[in-house]
Amino acid sequence: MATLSELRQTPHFSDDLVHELEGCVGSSRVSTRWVDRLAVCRDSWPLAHAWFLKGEALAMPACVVWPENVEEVAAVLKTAGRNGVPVVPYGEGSGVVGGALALGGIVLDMKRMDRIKDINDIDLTVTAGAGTNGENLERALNAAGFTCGHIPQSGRCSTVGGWIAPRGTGQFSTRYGKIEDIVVGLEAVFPEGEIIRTRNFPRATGPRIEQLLFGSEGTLGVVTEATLRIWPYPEKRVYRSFALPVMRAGLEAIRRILRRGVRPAVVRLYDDLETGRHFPDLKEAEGRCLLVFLMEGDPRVVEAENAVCASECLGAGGVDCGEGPVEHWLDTRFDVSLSPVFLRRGAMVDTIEISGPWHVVPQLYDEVTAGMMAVDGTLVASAHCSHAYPEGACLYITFCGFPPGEVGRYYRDMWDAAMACSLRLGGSISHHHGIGIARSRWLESELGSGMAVLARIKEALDPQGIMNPGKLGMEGCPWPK
Amino acid sequence: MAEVEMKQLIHCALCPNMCRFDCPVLRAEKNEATAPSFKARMMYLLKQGFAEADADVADIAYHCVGCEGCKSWCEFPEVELAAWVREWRSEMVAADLAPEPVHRLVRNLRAHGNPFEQAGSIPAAVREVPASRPVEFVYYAGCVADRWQRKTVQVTQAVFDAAGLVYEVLSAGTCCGYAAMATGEKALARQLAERLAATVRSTGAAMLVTGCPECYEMFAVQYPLLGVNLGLEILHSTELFDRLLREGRLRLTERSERVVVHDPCVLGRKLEKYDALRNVLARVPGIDMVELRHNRKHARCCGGGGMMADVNPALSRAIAQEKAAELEASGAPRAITSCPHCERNLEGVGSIPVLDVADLLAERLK
Repeated sequence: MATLSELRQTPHFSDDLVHELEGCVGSSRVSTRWVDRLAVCRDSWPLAHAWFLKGEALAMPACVVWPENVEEVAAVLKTAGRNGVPVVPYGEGSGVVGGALALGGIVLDMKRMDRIKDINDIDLTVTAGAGTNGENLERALNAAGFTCGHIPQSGRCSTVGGWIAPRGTGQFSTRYGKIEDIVVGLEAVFPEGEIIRTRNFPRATGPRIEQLLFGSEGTLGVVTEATLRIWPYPEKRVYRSFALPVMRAGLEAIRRILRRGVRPAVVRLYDDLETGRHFPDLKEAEGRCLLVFLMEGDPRVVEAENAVCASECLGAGGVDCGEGPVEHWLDTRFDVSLSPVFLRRGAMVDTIEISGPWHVVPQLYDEVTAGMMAVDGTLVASAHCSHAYPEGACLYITFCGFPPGEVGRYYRDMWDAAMACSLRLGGSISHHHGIGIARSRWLESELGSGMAVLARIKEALDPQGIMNPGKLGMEGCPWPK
Repeated sequence: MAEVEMKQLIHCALCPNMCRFDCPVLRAEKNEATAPSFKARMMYLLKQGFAEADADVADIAYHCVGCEGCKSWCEFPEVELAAWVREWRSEMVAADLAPEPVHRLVRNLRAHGNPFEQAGSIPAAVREVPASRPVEFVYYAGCVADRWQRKTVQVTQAVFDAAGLVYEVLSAGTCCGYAAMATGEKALARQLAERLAATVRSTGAAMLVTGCPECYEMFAVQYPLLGVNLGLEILHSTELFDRLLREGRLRLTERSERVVVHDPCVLGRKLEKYDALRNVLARVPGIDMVELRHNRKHARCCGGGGMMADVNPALSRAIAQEKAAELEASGAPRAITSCPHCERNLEGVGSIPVLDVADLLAERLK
């Protein structure tokens, strides 16, 4: 940890290296200005926010480079490799686990690669640059009569490349899938400058090399462009909500609905605490767990989904709460104002998403929230089931506490409580936020022998170790075991 | 900065930048340092003494058009980023760190009373007093219109004349103070405001009409904050046109035409006067009014806000190009607005002509 004043004085690249980079992209798209380096010295990791409020940061890059095409990305990576300097791809800094925090070197700001091209009505695909902002992509698609269906809470402040890096997920994932289900093809650059472009349709042509990049968080290469599935803009939307007596009843209702082949776009089940917090005026749901559905698409399909959801929820003791709560959720789903308010007051607030197969999800909910509540200083640990699939679901836990001692210690204790419990019960340590720095200490436990395979892949693809060092549980992590 | 503002500053600084997709400066520059939330972070670091200002820091302060597009998406109603940026600029001016174009603009304001090099040809605050009395209002076009949109000024008066209005014209050789206020010269803004207010008061009129939203905002919002009292009703020319049409005082010819509406940021988002322009267009016979997909409070800036056309012409033009493309994509052959900054900034940028609503009315006068 260092103060920002100290980091301002950190060693800069040699003039020769800066000139080499300028040769790759042009002099106007390389900056060593302090303000430009400071600006990319952030993501949305709450612990980094706490450091920022004290005028501190982990590190600062030496320069920022803005490529405009895949050849420029390749040239920058080759230059970095020759000079042995790190490269961190950067989108819009919405990540919440420190994945995009550069520990020095070059930040490769992808925002100039934001071209939206080829909205294809026949194949139902769109191709977009990795730096394309999510809201801008969705707006362009909507204007053309389509939707991508990938609408995360960070959609307004994240990029296509940023979705792929941690295996992100949108809030409509039950119908449209996670990003790895939505992306059908990629253009990318591997660390030694090899450019790959994959084809965009189902095929059986050996392993899909580009799949390595999903969840690689910039450690194995740079995604420069993606082709994504799109859908005709939904003809019909139906909103339904039901107040279930307890979480287990709600989780079981979701499981039963999905095994019947129904795929509402949005399925969210809030525990009693979060129901009270998000829907305080909903008397029917007082002390209960609110389950909301948003179903969209072909009217006949939607009506059938509606009937199945209603019958399963009512059969599980649910009280029909109508459309209102879903409209309220739609109105407030981009509201992230809670975190800054509490952080400013010295509290630590964060969200941890974990996932598991259905047979462990109810127990996962009970034990993870209880385990986090047991950490000294914790005021609340609540959860909702934010994404659901036929085989399992994601639990999205929000915690808030006033650290009794050093903030980093408390923060780590909370994460340890959640991670250890999830792994012990057979769950995963993450559903869509990724690993970054916050989860680095736990990735080996999650992957088991796969971690050594990953290390060998990393060594083969990136022998200089230039790509986003210190992340994904690899060497140089500033938050070690 | 008051304690409550520091709290709000932190809220903005720690937000993941949920407004960033609609910031016209960031969309054009694609540099994280120009993102709305980063500006709050920079101000926080400066105020806490965690960072020192230099010319690069000051440069970021001038990368904002003050359009408040960010505010339209903000979950914190008390976050006033554009106003804080103005204060930040004042500090940069005081520390002599403002970029050279700002110095040039300020030199012009001091020398000519307005921000433009050749504008000294227009004498300061000339009054054109009509023969018939008493006057119903004073018309002040604003220095941008006076310098760049003379035709709009003329057709605006032609519409007033067609309605038989009796008014006094106050030439806008003296800036209302907006150009100084926007660039961080608050003391100079107050001086200009006092100078103009004295002239306005001397007319004895009960109403002041301007075609410039920035002037309107200065008169209605900033003057009281600067301690300058005009003491009369203020109206935007489009509001007056709306009134005249409602009262049947303008007779217009009918002709079928599609036009797309461009909401000026200050008149719209800041002053929440979205309807006057639409009301006017709705009463022009044969007009088919096309709305942009993102309009009213989510309308995008033309790039001319915050005197950006003079402070950073390249950035201003890049923003204008995106706006012009959006207007062209509407399919309408012409765009109608009600702001001389927008008209100036979008002129010749794309293939779609952008006119003040006064131009349209003047064309249709019987």
